[in-house]
Amino acid sequence: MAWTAPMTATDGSQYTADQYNTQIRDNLLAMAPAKATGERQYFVSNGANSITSYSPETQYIPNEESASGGAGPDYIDLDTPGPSITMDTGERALVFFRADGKVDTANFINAVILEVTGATTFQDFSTVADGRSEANAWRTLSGWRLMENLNPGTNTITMKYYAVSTSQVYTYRFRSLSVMPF
Amino acid sequence: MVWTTPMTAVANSVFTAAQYNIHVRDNFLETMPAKATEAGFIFTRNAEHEIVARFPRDNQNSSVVTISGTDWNTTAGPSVTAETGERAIIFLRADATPRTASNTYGGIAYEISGATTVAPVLTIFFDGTTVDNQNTRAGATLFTGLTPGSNTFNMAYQTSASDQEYDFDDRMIGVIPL
Repeated sequence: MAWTAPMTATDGSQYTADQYNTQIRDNLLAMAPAKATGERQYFVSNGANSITSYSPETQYIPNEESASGGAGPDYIDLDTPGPSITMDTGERALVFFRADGKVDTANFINAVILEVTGATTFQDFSTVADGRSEANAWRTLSGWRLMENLNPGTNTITMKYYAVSTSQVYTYRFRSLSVMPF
Repeated sequence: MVWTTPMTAVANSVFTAAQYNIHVRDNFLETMPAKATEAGFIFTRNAEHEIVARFPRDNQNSSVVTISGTDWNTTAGPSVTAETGERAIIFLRADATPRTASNTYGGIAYEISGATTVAPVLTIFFDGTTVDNQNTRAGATLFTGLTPGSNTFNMAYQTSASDQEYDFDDRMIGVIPL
């Protein structure tokens, strides 16, 4: 239901059923309790005089998995792709992510990128960890991103992993992705 | 408009225009749909029985800035300005590369100006990195004790000494006002 600016009552005027339905029924249906349809929801404006409800989502992949790259630098999937979250968003979403990574060759970086598909398509925001030069040393990659200019609708956000070539083996564990739409 | 505790109707009593205007019109004007002016706002308590719309925002600077010295550099930005209540969640992120020597310190922080004044306090530090190797750090903090109003959150940088350089890149600061 659409919100209507509340009318001002005047003494002696008749309050009609239509007025009740517009002013009371429909306006109540535009408010948070009516929009609260699921657990753990919060409320965000999605236009002038309009709100919607969202629920944060998260996915966690703990197991250790490895992969090598292809013919050149690329962002690849592991045997278990992701984490990946598909949800309805507005134009923006706050995304948190983390993973541990290591490379079997010294002086090579680990990095992750967030890929968006669905209503919006782009690759956004990479984070790198190259704090140590030794091979097979675990390092933590973590970060956040306030994604803007999303197309409202169903968007899928997926973590992907940087690989330079087929010569190195990249290993990741404790992969986590969380999304709060706005 | 202010919120008024909803009246309790009594059978056979007259519901006056004044009562309607207070208990329906004015109370409805205190709800989220009435406060929503455009998309992307969250709603928080502003005072007893009063909510306000807040806009999470961030700012980023993708250019590389070279920093050296223990005094906080507060001119490189980025910064973000937001209307806040007494609290805000502040996010920081940067890539950092030591350019002078390995295993030296680099740090990022936020300072606050506007309604509230807070000098930079080390939030995230970079260390243990081989020279010319890049590392990413990101983090968040819930800051309490803000003076409600327009507050500007600005990134600040420092290193371990005036002769120790760090390159900071892909610098981001974000705020969720509460």
